[in-house]
Amino acid sequence: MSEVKNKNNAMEVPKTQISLSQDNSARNYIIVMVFVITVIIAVSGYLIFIFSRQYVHQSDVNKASDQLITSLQQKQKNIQDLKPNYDAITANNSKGVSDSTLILQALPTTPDYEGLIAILEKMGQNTGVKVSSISQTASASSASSTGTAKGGSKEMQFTLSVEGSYGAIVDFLKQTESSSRVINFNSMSLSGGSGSPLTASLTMTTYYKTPANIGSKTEPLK
Amino acid sequence: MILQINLIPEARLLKLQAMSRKRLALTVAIIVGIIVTTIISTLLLLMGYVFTVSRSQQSKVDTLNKDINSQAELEQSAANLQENLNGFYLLQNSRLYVSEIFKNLGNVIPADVSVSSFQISPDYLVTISGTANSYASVSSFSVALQEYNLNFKPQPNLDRKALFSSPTITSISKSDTGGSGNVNFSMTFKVDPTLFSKPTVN
Repeated sequence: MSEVKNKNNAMEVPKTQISLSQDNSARNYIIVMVFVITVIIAVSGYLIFIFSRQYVHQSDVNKASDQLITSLQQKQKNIQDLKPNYDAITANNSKGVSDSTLILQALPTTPDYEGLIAILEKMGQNTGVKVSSISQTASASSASSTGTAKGGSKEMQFTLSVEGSYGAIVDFLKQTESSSRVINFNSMSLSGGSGSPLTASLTMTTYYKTPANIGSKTEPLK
Repeated sequence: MILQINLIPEARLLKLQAMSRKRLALTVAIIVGIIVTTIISTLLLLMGYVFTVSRSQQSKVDTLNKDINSQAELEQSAANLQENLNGFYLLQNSRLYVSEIFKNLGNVIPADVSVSSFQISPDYLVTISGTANSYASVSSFSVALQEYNLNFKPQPNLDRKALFSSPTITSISKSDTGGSGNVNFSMTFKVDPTLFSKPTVN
């Protein structure tokens, strides 16, 4: 039989059936309440952890979005500022050619091999040189055939065979130097001469630049 | 002496103690409940706020992107032009005007020497090969290259500098065919890029 000590006088109090039942009921109640409190603390602790983490993450996302909005607004302003200049550069001048056309002729965005052939043929006609063959050193589509020059431009090497006098060939080279499209000389072999016209095999390089990348860069949120 | 007498019946005393303990446990549970509810409610409110802000920001980003994308073609064209123009300036600045080299080289080559191949490397080293009548012709060609525009045929439209320097006969051999042009040679020399970086006005 269990006994309860009286706190006031430390005397043992005789227990009745009713008092014992009340004592058990109180103990059970406290055990249940401790369990309930523990559950509440555990569940709420977990929820607070999850919500805090989510809040911190979302706050960081919002900060990043703020920066994104600022940069997009700046970009929008830049485009608006750019428009008048762009219109000016794409407008035809007195010769009926726009500056943008001249820029893209000098350094196109594609290899434009056909355009190059037309330029070389015209130069040959102007200088009295017969352009007997033009060939790319390797296929333009092949990655190994094209190198990268200064400023990230792609190189396209080609060889051409021309026939004519020494002076005409030098004139032809002079025309390539002043051509609207950038053409650089690499090497030349000469044959013939002594009465017959010279045949020169020229290796030259022209350039193109692939379209600019205007895509946005994204960085993972730290 | 004070005598303390407990007038409350023992059963009643025990009942009150049990009720007090129950009340204490309930109070603690309620306080804990209130605290965590407050914390969770605050967090939920904050999250609601940040999510609302996020939605508003997303809507703004979408509007800006829509506006920018509607002008993507203009942006792409302008970016291409800018990059191509920059690229063109770099290429143009490094352009070598070889026709001037040939023009001047033609002034140096002796009559009994013929050049059959010409190659120029990016560091302005020229490699030529050809035929000559004799070893002496090749040698005089080498000397003429070195002296050109200085003591030999000074050019009125050029600065008084050596156009061709460091000539080196890399190979020379006599063929068995005999007659004129029976000496094969190859030679390297350097050209001064400053004199050939711009077309000379004639």
